[in-house]
Amino acid sequence: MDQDLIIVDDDGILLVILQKMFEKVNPELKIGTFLKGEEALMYILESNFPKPPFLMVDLFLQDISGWEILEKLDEDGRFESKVVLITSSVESGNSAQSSRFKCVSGYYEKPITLEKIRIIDQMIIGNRN
Amino acid sequence: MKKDENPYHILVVEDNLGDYVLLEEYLSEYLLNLDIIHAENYQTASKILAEKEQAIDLVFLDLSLPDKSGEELVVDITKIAIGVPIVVLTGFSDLEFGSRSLALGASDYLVKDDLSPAVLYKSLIYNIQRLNFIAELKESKRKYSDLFQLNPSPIIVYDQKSLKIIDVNEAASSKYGYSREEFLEMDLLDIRPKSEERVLLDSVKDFWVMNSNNYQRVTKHLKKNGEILDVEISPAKVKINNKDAGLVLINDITEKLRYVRKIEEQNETFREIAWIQSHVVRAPLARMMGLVNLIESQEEELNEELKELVEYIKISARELDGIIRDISQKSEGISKNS
Repeated sequence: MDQDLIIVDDDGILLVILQKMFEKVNPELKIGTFLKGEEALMYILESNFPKPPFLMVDLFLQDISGWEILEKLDEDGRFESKVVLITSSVESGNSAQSSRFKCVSGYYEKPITLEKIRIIDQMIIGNRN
Repeated sequence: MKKDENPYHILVVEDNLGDYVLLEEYLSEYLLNLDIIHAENYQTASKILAEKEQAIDLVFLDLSLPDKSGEELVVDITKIAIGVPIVVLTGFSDLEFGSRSLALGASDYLVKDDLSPAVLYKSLIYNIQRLNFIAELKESKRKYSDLFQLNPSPIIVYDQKSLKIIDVNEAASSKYGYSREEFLEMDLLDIRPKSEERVLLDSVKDFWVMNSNNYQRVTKHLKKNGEILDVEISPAKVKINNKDAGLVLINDITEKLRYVRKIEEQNETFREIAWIQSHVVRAPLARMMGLVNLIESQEEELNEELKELVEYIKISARELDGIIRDISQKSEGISKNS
């Protein structure tokens, strides 16, 4: 399946909420979701995407740190400016640290609202074209 | 000639009245405020000395008394007259004994036939002064010895060349568990754990080539019972019997370090709590806020009452979010300061 967006977050309910939100904003978007960071990373790195999808990654997963994922994605090279980080953390400093990665194009503190979804949707459309 | 106006209390122990009168006469020539007490035998003299121990400045002692004489007399009198100079009066016949009496504790000796007011006065002044000086010296020695012995911090003195321990104070004995005698059989290496030997040798070397007096190290010491102490040592260079020695003041910081480690552990827990605040607690709240946002977006399906209720949920969620942010900020401040 050729996704436009892959969401990685260990919060199952949040995945449902985000999918519903995207459905509202852009029902045509094809979305894949992962609860586990390792699985997601393996899938992403091993897939031969004709067009690499946009990624939405939770910074603090249970099995793997978001930073680790970002490092691997930078190494891979196909995901420059294709990753939006989301986090429930309100810790200062994370945002600045994330900007060191080439793949990161946005950093959003939860809650993710429809407003933020619209902005991210625009980025996804930009990525597709 | 001007007389010495200082008051003197002199005990003259002399059984020959003629000799006593002469002595009194001679002394009065130089001394204006003379209080002279006469004792004719050892018995009386010892009573007076026992009663007026502090009041008597000097004793003139004839060597042959009816109830005691010679060596025994000098020895016994010096035992009673603690801190009082004793000037022995001898005749030509026992001149030799005069010099021996000095070894027995007398301060001076005079030959009776050579007595004159000037000789007596000089001897009196000289012996009183000398005793005061000796007493001061003893006092100052005692003070320094107390500073060392009664110092609450352990102090160890070692010989620079052999590293042998040459002196310790009481605090060192009670801290390390070795008696003073045991300590004097040991060297510095014996109070270090094996692993610290190299460190010790290096730091002793460093210390002795260094010119500054400001040398402090934190290291580990070994007690007799095998326990290891964290200590802060401050050595100083001293001379003992003209040899270089190190005087090491030891501050046991085992408790302090334990305390610091405990605080560090607590800080670690604090950091964990801060992390939980910042990430874990907020996650379900953020999710709820997302849900409210979704519900609000379906406005057309909500009646007025539900809209109001959703609004209240939103207000409550925002309030809780504010509280969590406050807590996070505070705990972040703590973990940054630590």
